[in-house]
Amino acid sequence: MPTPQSHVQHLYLQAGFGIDLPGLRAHMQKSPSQLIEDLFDDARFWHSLEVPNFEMPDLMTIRQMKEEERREMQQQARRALGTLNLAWLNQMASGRARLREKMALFWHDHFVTRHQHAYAAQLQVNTLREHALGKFGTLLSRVAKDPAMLRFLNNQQNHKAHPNENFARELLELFTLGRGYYTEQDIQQAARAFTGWSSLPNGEFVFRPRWHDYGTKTFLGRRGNFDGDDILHIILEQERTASFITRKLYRFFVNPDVDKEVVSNWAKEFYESDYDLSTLMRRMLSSDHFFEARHIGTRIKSPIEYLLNLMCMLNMRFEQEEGAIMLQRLLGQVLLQPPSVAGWPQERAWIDSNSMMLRLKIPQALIFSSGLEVQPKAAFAGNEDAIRAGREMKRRLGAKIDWQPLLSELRGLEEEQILASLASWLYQLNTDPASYQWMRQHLPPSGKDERIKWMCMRLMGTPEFQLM
Amino acid sequence: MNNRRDFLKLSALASASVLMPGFLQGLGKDSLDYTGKKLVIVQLSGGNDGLNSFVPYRNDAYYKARPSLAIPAREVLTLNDELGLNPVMPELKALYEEGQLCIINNVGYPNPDRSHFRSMDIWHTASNSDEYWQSGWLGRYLDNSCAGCAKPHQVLELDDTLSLAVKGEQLKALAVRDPNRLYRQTRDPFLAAMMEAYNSHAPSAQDELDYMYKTIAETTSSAAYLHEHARVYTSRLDYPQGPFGRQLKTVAELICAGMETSVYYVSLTGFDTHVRQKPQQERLLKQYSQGMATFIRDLRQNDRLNETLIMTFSEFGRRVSENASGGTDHGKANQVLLMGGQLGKPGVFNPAPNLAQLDEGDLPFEIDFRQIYASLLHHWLEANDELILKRTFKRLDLF
Repeated sequence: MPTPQSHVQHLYLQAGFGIDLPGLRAHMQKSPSQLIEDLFDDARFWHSLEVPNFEMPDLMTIRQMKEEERREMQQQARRALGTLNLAWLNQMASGRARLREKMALFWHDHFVTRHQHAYAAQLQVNTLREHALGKFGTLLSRVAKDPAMLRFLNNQQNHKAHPNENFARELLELFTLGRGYYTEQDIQQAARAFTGWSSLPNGEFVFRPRWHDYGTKTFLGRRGNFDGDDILHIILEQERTASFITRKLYRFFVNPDVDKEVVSNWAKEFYESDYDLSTLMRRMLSSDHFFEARHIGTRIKSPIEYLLNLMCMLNMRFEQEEGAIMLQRLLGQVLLQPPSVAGWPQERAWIDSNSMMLRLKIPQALIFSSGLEVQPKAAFAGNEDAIRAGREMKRRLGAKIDWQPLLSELRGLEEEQILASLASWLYQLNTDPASYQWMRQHLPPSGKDERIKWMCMRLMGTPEFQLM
Repeated sequence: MNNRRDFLKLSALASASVLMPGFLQGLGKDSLDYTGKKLVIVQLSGGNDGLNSFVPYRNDAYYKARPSLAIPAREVLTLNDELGLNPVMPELKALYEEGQLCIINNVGYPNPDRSHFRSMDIWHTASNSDEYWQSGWLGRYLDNSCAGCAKPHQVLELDDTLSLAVKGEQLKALAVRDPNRLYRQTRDPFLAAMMEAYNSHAPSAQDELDYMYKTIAETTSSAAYLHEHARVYTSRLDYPQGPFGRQLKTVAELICAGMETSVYYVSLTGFDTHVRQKPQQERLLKQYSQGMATFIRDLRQNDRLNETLIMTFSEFGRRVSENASGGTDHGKANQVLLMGGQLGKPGVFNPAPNLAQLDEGDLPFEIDFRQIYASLLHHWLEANDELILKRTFKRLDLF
């Protein structure tokens, strides 16, 4: 039994980053359950990201460096972060494991860290990708011992003589229970249990027994000689953790407007499956609820989703990282650089006068290498090189599109049909072909291939294309 | 001139109504409760070294902490018996003497953060240092004073993208580096056709879609409004070369053209001087001093100075002791400067920092920056500071 076009698109937009036209045609022949099987099967095909040998020297070495050496090192670190950014972006856009990558993107905005240390960032991204569809408990425990997290939330400074509560607070508030399900006392007690959790300069987790507080703690109504692992275990015993995570996944994959009853049922199953993320996601993606019309085309694509969507649908790659990173900066979301531990803003927060006008303009800049005429905000140091690079980017984003698959799919059709095919593929709502025929007056006079490219550009440069 | 003004009104209205979706017209207030007063925010990004801008030239501790970077007492431009200006800023000294500069010392916030990103976010959102807010204080001013009005240009940032400071919970400001370029963008025939097609079946059944079309319509009408005003007055004064001078010139031209904008936001970057601070900071301070003096002269000549207040801030000051590279590292408290024609307490508002009592090698704060925000919102913009800042701060006696 084939699957309706809008359902295939919906599935690939939510559980991935969109699908190109030939891929769409091929997938429509499959049944919905086969499509879900494919997504989970494909999720097995991934590999760790490895940014070419950049290792940050340890703090002592950095302290002894001359200023020039230090600046050189910081520049290298920035470049390495850029390389990692693009490596992950490309994996998300072109790898088979789209569901895994989409989950990892979700976790990247959940277990937030921001780091100038490319090696730590890489370790963390790979952890998120590895456990993205596994047990939530394993993911939580790995993240808690991750050097990026330990450093970002100051657990390096968590010593029994002067406990640092930063990690314990965010663990309860943002990562597991959510506000209102713990007390200040619980935070203080949990912080004591995490004393001595630290990392070595090479990025390995280390437990420092002499820093650890071995005394008795009372946490969420339980009393014992708890260490960090015990605290994580007690957190997972709370059904609230399952509903907090399920609700957040629902908001990301289904609808920001939450259906409480559905979430409560799924959360119960999630809890009973011992927090198995594959079970939960399978349940979600194969439910009738997921495909209800009210969930289709309702959410505004985040800048990263928007960019990946363009890459996936147009078979587009960035020849150099500057172009991809420039667009992320202009649109307000740079991979590996979330604004704070609370993660990125959502939904309408992405849209203001300027970002809206920019989104209308970007397809043209990518497809026809025309100038964008905008510059991102200057760095704090006001580095002249960066300013020059910004000017350079006005001319060229360095995007390369492979048009052949799309063109050969459409060339044989009448123009009216071409426009209709493109609209129903690019839009999730208002796909009535008659409502877009006016666009044909805004195309170049001749050349069928050229007109197809223009139609793509026109359809993508609209508010409709921003919705998924 | 009356004809000209009527023409402006008419053309702005005409261009707005062509593109504004029918169902949006007549919605909400026309504009915020416009008092005619303008606030201009100048952001010095990177953490300006306040101690070498306003030099405590009689303080031995200063000279001891900065053997190579300290500015000799004989070189400073004396303000009072404590403080002297960095000699690259003679224009500021003139403003000081004319009573158009107010220096507020030791401004910061509790538990300061030394990261540029975090500290700037804290200044932008006005949150405590352990809170993560996603809206800015000037954005919330817009929400609060202009609820329902469809005019993003009420708060204007002179750049291509918006800072967090000017993004509210409902409304967001408009970023514009060049009014003519923004106008050109909105005059695209495809855009007009798209709006027309949408208008014929608006509103759609989809809120997010309507929200985006509404944003485009508002941008288009703001761009037209700006474009008309940008042509009214062209400044002949010599602003310093570079983006900062251009931003100030544009702001002066818009203010003098009688724009209804209440807040303008400009910035000058490059103050993160860890290495060889002296030439870099002096280059920037020179630009700042010349730029501000020209800007103020422009406003005065056009009789707009009394209705304009300018606040300058940086996300933090720098460490009292210099480092081994002829620079300074990230510190804590710093000065905030106010300029304008109606300062209640021009001069040095409060005593210079006490270098004998440092907080981890940094200047401790005495005045919370949000006390200044509260005063500006309440006394100058006549807005509800407690709602906007979400807390009550003791206002300062600035006016």
